[in-house]
Amino acid sequence: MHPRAYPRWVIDSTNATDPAGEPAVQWRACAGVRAFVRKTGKAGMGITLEVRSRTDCPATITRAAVVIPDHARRLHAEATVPVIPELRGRSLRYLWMPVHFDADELWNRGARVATLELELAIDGVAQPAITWPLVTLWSGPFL
Amino acid sequence: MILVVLAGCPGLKRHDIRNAHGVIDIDAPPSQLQRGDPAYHEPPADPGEHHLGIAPGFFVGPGTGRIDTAESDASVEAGVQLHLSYGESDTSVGRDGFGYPWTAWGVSIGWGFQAHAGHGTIAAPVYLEATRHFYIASASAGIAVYPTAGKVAGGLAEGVDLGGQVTLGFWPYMLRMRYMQDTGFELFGVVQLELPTSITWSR
Repeated sequence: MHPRAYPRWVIDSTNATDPAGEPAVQWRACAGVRAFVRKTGKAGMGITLEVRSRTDCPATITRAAVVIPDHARRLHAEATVPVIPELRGRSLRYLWMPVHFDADELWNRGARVATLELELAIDGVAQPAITWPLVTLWSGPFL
Repeated sequence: MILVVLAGCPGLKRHDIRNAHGVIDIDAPPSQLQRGDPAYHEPPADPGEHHLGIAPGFFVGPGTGRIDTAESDASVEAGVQLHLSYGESDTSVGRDGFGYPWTAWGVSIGWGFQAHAGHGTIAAPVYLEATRHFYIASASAGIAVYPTAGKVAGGLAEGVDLGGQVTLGFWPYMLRMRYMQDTGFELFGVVQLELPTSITWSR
């Protein structure tokens, strides 16, 4: 019996890795962020955000979304933005961020790539957006 | 049974990739939220599958009732049938599993001819039945229409003969009973052989 395989979204970090081969931290002023897709399902995807700081850093996430090109239009699936706890000195925090969208409908329409966009504000000052390319991994219906 | 087993053969079963994603609660953080392993991914649950069964086949067997003569009312009926059925399962079948719905509702449509001793052959009724099958057991009920009417005794009358049909089966044996408007009760015992195929896709 061959169990089923399921598609999963992953961050395509092929072109953005650190010297150790890990996905690179994206820095905006005093705050650095990495993203990991931990859950993929019919309801969308769940992402772990790793947020770190070098000094005291009043950072907030102002917006996050997954942008999926779907034929002639671009679907924006807004994420449930988490609150960043106070970052004092050299800190490391993990946050959970679900992104709801109809994954089955987009899969049936052939959408296999997307972009994760995240906007930070440091002490109220907007920072350039951070983007990560997303791709779908799927080996076929059965393992 | 050989034909039933064939339903699991790769060439007779097609797995559609629609609705490929699994089921998972994306609002609940995973137990390993703080893992920095880029490859860690919590697997989703199986959403189950839809199964569409397509079974063309043929049948043949003896019966009685259509022709009422003093000499004999025995006949042999043979024909072809197409059976379509739909079912769901809570788990995905897998590459080597049967894709055909074992318990399902469906429809059967068939047509053939009857050979009557001393009276040649006539067209058998076209029938349309609703079917409920449970593995190799089945029960069907529907309508049957003979393209010609009347009792065969000194010639056939024109027109159509409408009636009801019930079929009880324990594959490959079927007991087929009809009540026709012009000729009354009929009873046929047939052997029915099918080549089942299936299309499955995720819920």
